[in-house]
Amino acid sequence: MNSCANEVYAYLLARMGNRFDADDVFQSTFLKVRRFLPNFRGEASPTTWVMRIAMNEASSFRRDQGRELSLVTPEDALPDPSTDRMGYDPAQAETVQDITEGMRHLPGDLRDVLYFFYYKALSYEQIATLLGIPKGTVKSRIFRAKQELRVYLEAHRDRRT
Amino acid sequence: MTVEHKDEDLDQALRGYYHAILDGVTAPEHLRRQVLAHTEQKRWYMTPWAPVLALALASASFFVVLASSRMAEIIFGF
Repeated sequence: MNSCANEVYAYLLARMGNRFDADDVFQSTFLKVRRFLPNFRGEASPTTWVMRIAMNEASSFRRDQGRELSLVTPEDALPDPSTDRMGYDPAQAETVQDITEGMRHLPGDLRDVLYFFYYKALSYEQIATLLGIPKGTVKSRIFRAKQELRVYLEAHRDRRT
Repeated sequence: MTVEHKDEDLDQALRGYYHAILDGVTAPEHLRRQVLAHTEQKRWYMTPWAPVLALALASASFFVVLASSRMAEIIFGF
C-alpha cells in the first residue's frame, strides 16, 4: 500500500499542480479503490489499476470543480526545491518555476503523458497501454505538450527581458 | 535560464522539473489515516452479510409489532 500510495500521490501532485487538490483526489481515489476492490480481476498490476482510478478521479475532479490550478501560487503549491535539497541552484529553481507556470496552461491529458514519459521514464508503448490510447496518440500528445510549453516559455522569456 | 528552448534543452528542463518537485514526495500520513478511518467507519455496512442482517432486523421488528398487537388484542379483549 505504501509504495503504491506514494506513487499515486506523486502523480496527483504533478497532475493537479497543488497539494490541496492532490489531497482531495488522493482521498477519493482510495475510497474508490476500497469500493471497487472486489471487482479487481487482476488483468493489470494493482498499481496500474489504482493509477487508472487516480487518473479518472483527477479528470472528474476538474470537471466537478470547474477550476484550473488557479488560486495557488506555485511557491505555495509545490515543494520548494531549496528547502530539502543540497546544492540549491537558482537557475534551476527559476526554470522549475517557469515550467510550473507553463504546466498550468496544459490540459490534463497532456500533463499526464509528460509525467509518465519524463518522470516515470515509460516508453511510448507502456504509456499507451496505461492510458488505453494508441501509441501514435501518445507521441502526438507529447509533441503537442512540448510545443505549447515552448511557446509559453518563449513568451515568458520575452516578457522578462 | 536557457535562452533558446531547443528540444534537448526542454527535455532536460522537464526532467529537472519533475525531479525537483517530486523526488522524495510521499503521501502525507494524515491522509492515509483519514482514508483508513473512513474505510473502518463504512466497513460494517459494506460487509457481504449486511443485507442479511438488515432483513433479519426488519423481520424481527415486524414480528415484535405483530406480537404486540396480538397481546393488546388479548389483554383488552378486542
